[in-house]
Amino acid sequence: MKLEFENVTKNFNGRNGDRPMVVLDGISFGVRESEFFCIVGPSGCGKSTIINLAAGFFRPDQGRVAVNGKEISSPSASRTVVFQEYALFPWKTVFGNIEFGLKCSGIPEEERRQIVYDLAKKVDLEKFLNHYPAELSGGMKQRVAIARSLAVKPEIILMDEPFASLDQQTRDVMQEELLGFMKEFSQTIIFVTHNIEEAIFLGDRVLVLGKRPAHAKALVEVPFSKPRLPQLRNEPVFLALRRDIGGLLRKEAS
Amino acid sequence: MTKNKDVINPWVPILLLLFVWQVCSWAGFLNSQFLPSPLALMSEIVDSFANQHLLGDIFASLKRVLIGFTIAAATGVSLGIFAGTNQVARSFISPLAEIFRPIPPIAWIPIAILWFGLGDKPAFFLVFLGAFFPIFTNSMLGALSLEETHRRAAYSLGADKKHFLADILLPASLPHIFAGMKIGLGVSWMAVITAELVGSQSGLGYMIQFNRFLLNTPKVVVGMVVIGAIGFLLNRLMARVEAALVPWKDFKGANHI
Repeated sequence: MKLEFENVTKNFNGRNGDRPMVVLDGISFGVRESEFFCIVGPSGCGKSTIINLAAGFFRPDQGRVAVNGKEISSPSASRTVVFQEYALFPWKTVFGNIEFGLKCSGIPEEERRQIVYDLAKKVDLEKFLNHYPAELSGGMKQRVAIARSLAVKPEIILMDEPFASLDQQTRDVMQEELLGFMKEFSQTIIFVTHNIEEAIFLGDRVLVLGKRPAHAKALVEVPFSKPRLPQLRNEPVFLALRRDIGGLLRKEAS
Repeated sequence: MTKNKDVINPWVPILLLLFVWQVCSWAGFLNSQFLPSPLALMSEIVDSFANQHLLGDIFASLKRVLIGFTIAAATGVSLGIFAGTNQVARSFISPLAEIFRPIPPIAWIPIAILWFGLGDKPAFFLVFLGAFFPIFTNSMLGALSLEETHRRAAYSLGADKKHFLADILLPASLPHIFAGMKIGLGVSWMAVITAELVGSQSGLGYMIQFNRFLLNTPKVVVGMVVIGAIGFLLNRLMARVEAALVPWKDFKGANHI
């Protein structure tokens, strides 16, 4: 297994005097090498906490989070994160944002320029390298964030509802683009979302989480091969799977 | 994405004030013994430049501001960023800053002269005191304003302490740092005049005090006008530097990306 959660429990301290809030309660799952692993669950169920634990921003209270069998102790460029709110550095241009991780790993300037340029071309932003993030649309910002997370050649990319702030059309296009250019990369991806269709369209497997404290409801193998075409969204098998997972989550919500 | 443009050219209200002032002088509303007219001042200014004292006084004051302000900016920004990132440092330095900050530079004059004598040194000290606190406080707020997601993004991209400071924390704090430096520079300019009124033999403050003793009111007003004009220019200069170093600031909501 590439990434493993073993009986992971995470609590957050309540406000003064309240009992600590259990966000994850003994959750276990494993993500395979080069897999596109989606996690779907209701809002506020603790999905982001899983990303934060995998990134090394938090440590679990109990259990173990490991990459290649080694326990995670701190953030590292081998596990980059794409955030819902983009988290682009507003003081850096598109070029500077994509370049930052390369700069940190000590890659010489000439080589950095080449890598940034190649990536920008792949995400169709080579004309915007000198623009600041505030000048870009939401979809463009997220493409910069994805390019930035790929630049350092991580082993795992952690995506925390990256398309949740985009409108429906842009979101569909971004999903298709993401599948498109991930073909050329072999990274393992953990993709968290509350959108069932998104999870099925993108994922090789989908972990369905129940309400807080988050616990695994089901682990679904998605039976569609890649590349996946946009019309897959309307296929009866796709819609049936979507309905099944929806049913699981609805039971949870009531 | 709109730039903050002035609706009215800044020279319009200034020229309007001079015009009304001149008309009032012509109409006899203003006693020229108490307040000379703008045109009379103009010839006084030309005269002051011609006999070379004014230029020397301007440079003396500017030099003191430059040195005192530079020291204040260097210490204020570094201590402010440090206090903004380190909670122990913050709880240690903040109460001290809160106690010293309300003491105006003018109240320090006796001590400054006692410690440093007359001349440049007490002026450096007063300028430093005036500029340090706004720069320190705003730099600290700047460091505190760094968003958690930016911190996380930086570390997950492999940032070490050095890159985090130079590429993330410092630029994220720059808009606040500049807010502090603009206030600080304004206070510096006031502080140097204050220092020169009492403890100096040169500078615009000294020039005003000197002419006051000679009962030369027009020259006193010349000093005031020049102080105002230079303060105005210093502020504009700082705005230029800021526009060059913080180019992303002009975009709406640029700090919430």
